[in-house]
Amino acid sequence: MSEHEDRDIILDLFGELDETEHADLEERLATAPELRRRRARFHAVIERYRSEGEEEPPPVRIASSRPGRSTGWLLRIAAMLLVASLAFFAGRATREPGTGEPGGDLDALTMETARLRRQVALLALQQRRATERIAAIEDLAAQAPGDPALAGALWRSLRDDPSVNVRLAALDALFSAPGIAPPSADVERLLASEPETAMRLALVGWLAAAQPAGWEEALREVGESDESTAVRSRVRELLGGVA
Amino acid sequence: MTVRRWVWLLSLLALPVPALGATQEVRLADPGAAAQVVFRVPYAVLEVVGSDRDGVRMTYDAPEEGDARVHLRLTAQGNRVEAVDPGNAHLLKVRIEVPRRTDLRLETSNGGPLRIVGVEGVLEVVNSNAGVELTDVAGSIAVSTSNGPIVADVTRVDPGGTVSLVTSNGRIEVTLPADFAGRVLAESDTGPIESDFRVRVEAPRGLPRPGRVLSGQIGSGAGLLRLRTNNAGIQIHRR
Repeated sequence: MSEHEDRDIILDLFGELDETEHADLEERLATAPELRRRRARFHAVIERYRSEGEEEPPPVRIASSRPGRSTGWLLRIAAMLLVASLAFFAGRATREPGTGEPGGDLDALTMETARLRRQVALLALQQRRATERIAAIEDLAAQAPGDPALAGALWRSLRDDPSVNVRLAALDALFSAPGIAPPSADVERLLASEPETAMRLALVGWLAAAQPAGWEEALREVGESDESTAVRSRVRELLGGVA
Repeated sequence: MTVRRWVWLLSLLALPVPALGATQEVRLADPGAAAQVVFRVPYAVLEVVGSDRDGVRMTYDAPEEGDARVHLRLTAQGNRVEAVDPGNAHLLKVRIEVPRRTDLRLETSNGGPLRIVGVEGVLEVVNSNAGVELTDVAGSIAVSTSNGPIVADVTRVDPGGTVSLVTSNGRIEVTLPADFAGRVLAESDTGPIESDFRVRVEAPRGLPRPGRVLSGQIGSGAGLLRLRTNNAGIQIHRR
């Protein structure tokens, strides 16, 4: 069962798939009994909450130690994913003996929950609003700061997100996870393509702090070629006057 | 013959008159719901003002003599209203009146200062080579510009919401409600950082940051205050 399929099932239950995506999912469901069983269990949990008259699922602290952080509909999905994962494993333990699966194994449940939480955060990186993408990056950074898969998502945001504010949030998250610095050549390419002076200033600071192999040469190159006086001056300061 | 005389003459002939200044207005499909306004036009001096009207009204003026070809149009789909002209090459003065509860996505450049007054929602602003001024705003805010200051007077921040202000070569001055609570990360490469709030200072996570940094927690909330500039100061005021 792939993360992609779980994500599509959950989104479909909340009516978030368009017609084409829904039709594609229905086609897959028609030929995959296990997929249909998962959808039925997720659906049962959601319906139980609705029938008990709760408009919102119980508050669930998703990612960080900061209480009450709200990401709107994503929080609802994330809460449902956690509950659905609990129901799923509870169901497997009581209804599917002899499958060889861990069943009620707490470790397996913890891993599944963490996987689903990362899925929600990665989905949130595709949100239309920059403020929601910033919130998603904050959650990713708090969940697993050294996770290479998450580092890849943060790097893509730093390289490709159209919002300077989001790119800065991605850089902040990479600052907080020193073990996942990319090669300095990649950072040099990023510096060459970054249009905003404020971001290039932040990037040279990060390069000087992370110090990946070849960082001094990369900084000198930027210090000689950057179009901004402020960036060139900053590089000189970071290199201690040796430009 | 001056341009204005041409306009008068052409209007007599009932020929299309190039717009020297114009007002457009669109109504929202659902006045009870929040509006979304998208403005993506370079070279604009833009002011957005919250009001009690049910629709969106845009007035613009091309102040340069002879600048007659301005094709700025408001289009509406449901509660989403757009004025998009990425090919604009004229300096425009634009004023947009929106319902007070409106999400804004504003992008301009090389025009002049951008102002927002009295709007509540998700406010995303991109400017360049000029400042950004937000007065009496509320919600979640992401602003970036270059070579200009950012001054923001925020009356309320969404629970768990974000205030992210990024500029280069410009000061940042933000006023927040007294009950704002959340994580703060303010950076300036060389300028001073001052805060009226009591900040529980914590070392930034992970790598040390060069330059001047204020990192920590205000109260016990889940908000995020992220401020970055390079060679100017940062001031955080408390209402």
